[in-house]
Amino acid sequence: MPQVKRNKRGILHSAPIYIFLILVSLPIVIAYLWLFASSFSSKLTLGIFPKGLTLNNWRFLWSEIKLGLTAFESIWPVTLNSILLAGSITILEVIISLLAGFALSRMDFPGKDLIMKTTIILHAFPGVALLIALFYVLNFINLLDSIMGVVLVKVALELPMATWMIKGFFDEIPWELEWAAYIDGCNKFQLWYKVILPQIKPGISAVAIFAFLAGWSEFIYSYTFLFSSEHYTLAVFLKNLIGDFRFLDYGLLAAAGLFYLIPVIVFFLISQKSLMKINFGGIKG
Amino acid sequence: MRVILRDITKKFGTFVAVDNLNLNIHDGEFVALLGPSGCGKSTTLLMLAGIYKPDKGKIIFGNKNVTHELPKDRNVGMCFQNYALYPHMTVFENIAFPLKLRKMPRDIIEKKVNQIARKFHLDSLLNRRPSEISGGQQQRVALARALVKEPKILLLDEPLSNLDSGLRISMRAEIKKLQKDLGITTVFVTHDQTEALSMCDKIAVMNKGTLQDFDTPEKLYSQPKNQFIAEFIGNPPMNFLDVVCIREGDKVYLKGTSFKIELPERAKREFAQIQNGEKVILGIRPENLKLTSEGQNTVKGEIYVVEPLGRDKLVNVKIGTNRIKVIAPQDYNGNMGENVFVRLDMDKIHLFSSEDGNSLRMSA
Amino acid sequence: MEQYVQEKSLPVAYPKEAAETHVKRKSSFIAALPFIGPFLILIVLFYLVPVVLTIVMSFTGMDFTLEWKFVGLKNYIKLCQDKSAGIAALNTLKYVASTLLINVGFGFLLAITTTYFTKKQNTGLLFQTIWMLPRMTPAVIYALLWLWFLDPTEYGMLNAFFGKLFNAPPRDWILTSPMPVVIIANGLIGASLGMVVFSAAIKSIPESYFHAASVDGATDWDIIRYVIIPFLKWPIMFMTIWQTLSLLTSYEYILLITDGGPLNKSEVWALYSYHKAFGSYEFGYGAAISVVLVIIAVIIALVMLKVFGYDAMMNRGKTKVQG
Repeated sequence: MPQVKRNKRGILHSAPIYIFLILVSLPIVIAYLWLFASSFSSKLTLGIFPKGLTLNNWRFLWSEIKLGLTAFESIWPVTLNSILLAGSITILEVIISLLAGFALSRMDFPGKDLIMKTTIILHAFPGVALLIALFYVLNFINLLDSIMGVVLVKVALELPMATWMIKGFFDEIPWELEWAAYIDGCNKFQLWYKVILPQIKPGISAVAIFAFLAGWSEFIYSYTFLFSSEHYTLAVFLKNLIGDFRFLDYGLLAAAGLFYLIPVIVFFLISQKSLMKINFGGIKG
Repeated sequence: MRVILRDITKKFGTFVAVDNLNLNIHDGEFVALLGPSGCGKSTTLLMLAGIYKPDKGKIIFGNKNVTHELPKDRNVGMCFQNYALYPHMTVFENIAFPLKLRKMPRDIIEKKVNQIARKFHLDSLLNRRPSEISGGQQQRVALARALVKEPKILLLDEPLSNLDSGLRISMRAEIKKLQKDLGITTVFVTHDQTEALSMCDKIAVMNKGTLQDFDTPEKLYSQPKNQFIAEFIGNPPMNFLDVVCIREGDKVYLKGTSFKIELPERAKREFAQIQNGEKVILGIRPENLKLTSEGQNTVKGEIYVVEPLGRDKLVNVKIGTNRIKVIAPQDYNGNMGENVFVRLDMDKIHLFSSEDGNSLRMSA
Repeated sequence: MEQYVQEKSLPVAYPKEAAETHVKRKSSFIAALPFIGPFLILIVLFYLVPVVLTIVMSFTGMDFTLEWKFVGLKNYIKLCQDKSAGIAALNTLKYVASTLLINVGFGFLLAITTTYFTKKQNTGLLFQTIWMLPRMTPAVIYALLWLWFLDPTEYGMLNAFFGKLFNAPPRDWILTSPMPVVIIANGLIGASLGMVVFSAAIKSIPESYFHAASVDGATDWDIIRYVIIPFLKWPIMFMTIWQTLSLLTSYEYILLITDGGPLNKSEVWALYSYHKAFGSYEFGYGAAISVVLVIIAVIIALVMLKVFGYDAMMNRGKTKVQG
């Protein structure tokens, strides 16, 4: 992709552009700086300038958080739930989309066209509009108030997108490679596993990261379909914490928020470029 | 192993890619499938490999009908235009892959791969990946992979067209030598008639899904069965002029817009079936034309442009509304716009029906 | 004689995917089932069944007991007379229209400033990365940042800013202007999507167009007007429709930041359905409210399929660029 080169423009010329970009981006930068700063300080002046270094805001890591008589559960089991949720979503979504993407890209079977069209429509169709019916379905198959229930719902709602992305990766693989594999003696499964999958490793990891982050950030389904506190995920936990501490202790909220944000930051830093591309730019962006 | 294609037809939707093809390839023969893009030659090759299944007809390897067999059961080796090497495997793993899938013991695999790698001068590259070696090397890996399982039939799909021109010419000889050494029945798909002429024992010329002719390169060149073959084989291509046949007594003339030439005895016999007044197409190769001064049986024209080729010059001459190419010696110094006379080597002419393009040669 | 060599590589003249291969012929639906089966089960169970259920439920008075008590059109009649629903509908209209404007307009502005005007690719990428942050941030934390930003005491960023600069007393922004808050909060997220999609589209314009325009003496404005915008016509149309759909149905951020309050002032249609179902446990009525969304969503999805075709629908960014 060629970068648009503008040779004639000098610094003076582009100054207004940079000033504009800095001004509009500043609040975002400040907000994230605040999150960081206030989690480590006992007091902030003027909103963002930290005063007094403390680790007290991070106390939830080693002790219970109490507010009056109510005590919040420890953050560790909650974190474990979030890992379980995001991990299961990732594994299921990757495996199922790899299988289905292969069928849609490389196989020919009756109903394929219908499945493709449905997939496209569902892709645009927002799952949250179906929350009430999903509640009923989960109750019916006895997966209400269970992390697995949320996992299945989330995987299903993300599958059309993930499958289509994987299909796109498969489509790029030259047919000759598949033919060569058949001539060398592969059967269909060997072809999928030994020849095709290794070609799209970067694509698989991109889909996996995307699935993990989506699962990790998941809020509305956990909030609606999980009632027992032993099933709470970090998103629900934090939502409750915000409800109780909002006007009392931003330091604690910032620390907890930052704790929740860690995997996102890590993945964002290591895969920022590819994530940007697949997230909304399609595969090739 | 001999290969027989009998009444093979393959359609994609309503498009007929291969139409009722019959081929008889002898054991150890090197055969080219030659034709322009879309002529069905690649489809034919893929049917031989077992990737595509014919809609009609039979494919026989040796004495066995393999029409319904899967690629992996046919024991063919194939080399693709883009080589289709597995990018995630090293050169060694690529070559070893067909053997691994046959569950051969590891030490035998290693022996065989090393052996063939030496033959193809790949010893030092075994740990590299396809992306780390040159195009020519990739091609040798592809050949090694195709041959390591000791197939009975070798299929080559435009194996040379991704190489640069120097390498392509040297690989032509290499592959020809290899095929002769191994004595393996080989089918070679190409759109380049030079490759087909220089490498193969026999050429099947295809156009729009149908077989035009299947014969030796010499025969196809000297006695093309129809105008398509005549035009497709030979470089620079054959010239064509619209003429009318005129019989006056026992003399036969070909009359063009601005010329009238007499047929010699031999040509008269060969083309005896042509009627008086029949419109035919005269074909003559550039090397059978000579620029000369005015005389008997010459055609007057005007130099359109001169293309020096190094060894000789190619002179484009305008004759009426037709344009022909003439090979002239290196020291020829005609200029654009000058009038010239072209003498035809009348023993080397071809005449085609203006209706169906078929050759009007009697014995053909 | 190399100069006579005919065309170098041949495009295969038939569509390979349409080709029935030997191996493919055998793979009927049964052969494909191991590959496509798990996908189908999940899609049917959590997509198709819920769509049907939503519609059926809307004709019942289902409550938390989840019993089917069919009541005919009662829910729909109630919906027509429901004042809160009217407010929600009006809010939704305002919300979608204004947010769209930010998403597309501001997204375009960001795209053009970070792609076209920024000399160094890395600088543009840095700003794009900053704008992607909110999108990558879990909704709960994004909401937390807004709650702090708008905190009614001088502790909040906005109040601290205005207090210092204009000596203004602290205001409760969420209480006084919930709709702008909701619109801007969602707009920032959507703008980053617009930014990425439009940037990709701008980058895909062949560079020769810019060179040609420069040679012809075009100013930046001319280039934007006559080169970039015509190229971005399809992506912009696509973004607009796509975002309309997701804005209509998304309510996660609103739920977390204002929860529709105060007093229904920022209640939108989708959130109203949520509140009815999971706040007051009127599942049947909530479903009836959802059905409206389901119908709109299906229509928009079908229209998009018709207008943009397969590829653009799935690869949101890889939109068609047609001059």
